[in-house]
Amino acid sequence: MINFSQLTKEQKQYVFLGVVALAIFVWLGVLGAKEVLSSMTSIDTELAEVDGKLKDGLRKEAEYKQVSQDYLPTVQQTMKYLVQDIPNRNRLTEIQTKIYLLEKNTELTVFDIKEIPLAPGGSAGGGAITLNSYALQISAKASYVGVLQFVAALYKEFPLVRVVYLNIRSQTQEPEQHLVEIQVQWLCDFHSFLQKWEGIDALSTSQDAESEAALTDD
Amino acid sequence: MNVLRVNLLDKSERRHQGPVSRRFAFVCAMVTPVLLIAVIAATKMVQLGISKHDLETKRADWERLQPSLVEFDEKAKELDESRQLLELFEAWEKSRLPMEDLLEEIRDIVPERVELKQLSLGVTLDRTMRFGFRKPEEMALKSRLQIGGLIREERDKASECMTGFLEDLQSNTVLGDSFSSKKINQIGPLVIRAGTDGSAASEFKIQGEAK
Repeated sequence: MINFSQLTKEQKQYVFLGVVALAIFVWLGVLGAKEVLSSMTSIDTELAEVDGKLKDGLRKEAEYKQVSQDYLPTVQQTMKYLVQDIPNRNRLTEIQTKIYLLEKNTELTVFDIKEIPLAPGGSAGGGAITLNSYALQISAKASYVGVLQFVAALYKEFPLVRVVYLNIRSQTQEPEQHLVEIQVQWLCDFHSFLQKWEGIDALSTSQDAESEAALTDD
Repeated sequence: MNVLRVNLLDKSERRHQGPVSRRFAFVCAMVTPVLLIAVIAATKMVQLGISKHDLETKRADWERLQPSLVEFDEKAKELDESRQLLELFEAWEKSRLPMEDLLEEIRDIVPERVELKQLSLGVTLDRTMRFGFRKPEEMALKSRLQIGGLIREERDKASECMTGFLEDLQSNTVLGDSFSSKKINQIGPLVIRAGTDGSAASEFKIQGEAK
């Protein structure tokens, strides 16, 4: 063992200097290590955070791509119905025209079409979307078969229409011709959706082109 | 015998007699911790450098992905809206009474001796009903079935005919999809009426309610 008392004066000075230098070095080292460790901790935290965000983002991206891929055909299919929307102006006239056109191909005689006023708005709850409907009553005369034909044609031609009430009453004077009362609800007001959804311009343009082509063929 | 030992060397000229010199031990004692600290510090610095590089890469990835995510979030909202819209359309589709099928089924079920005077399906619309729909369940209709008519038979046969007709209505699967078979019932008794041709006829009323 080194005995401090046996050292020379010069050696004692070296030892003193060495101990001071070591102490300073250790102190600096501890400070540096603290700094490094704190930086590493913050970097690790940020790294974990960014990593989590990245994973979440990539998952979202994949999910969105998958969903939109599956969803697009259905949305496009729905769009085809929506572009048949009846206009806000002259709604009754527009519908009357459609119904009278339909009537021509069936054994049913429409003698009156009138609007049924309903209470405004949907319920307070539910989602952000509200589907509006337009209700009307069709009074007609037809045989049982005529009613069947008309209802079938109505459902086939207009998927946004539902027959809410149907009443057939027989007449003594004309046993084969019944008085028919049909109440229908017609979904409408899709303009906001049409504006939102991408590709509608292309879709309506292509449909217009198809219609024009069909008209030209006729 | 005592031997006199004379040490003529100066204190600074004396050499330590142990395995290592005092100077070497001193240098080792000073340098070893310094080296140890230096090695640990170097390792940590390298780790720090790697972490920093990793962080920079991930930050760059994140920066690249972030605008897309904002766009995805907006699209996801639109997607939710369109999903909701499709749910409403599905509910609308389901709420449509299959009128054609119902009319065909009723026509096929009605016995020959029965003469229908009135047939109604569905529910009448009035001002209390709302024209807007926000939830699929709002579209459901509490439809009703009402059949009124005459049975051109004598009283006993008319009852039998009525029972058979009711049973056929209740057991029909197409009608069963829209109306509860248990809720299709005769309303009131058969009322005897004289037919236009003078023959006996019984008037009946049948009512059915949705499930």
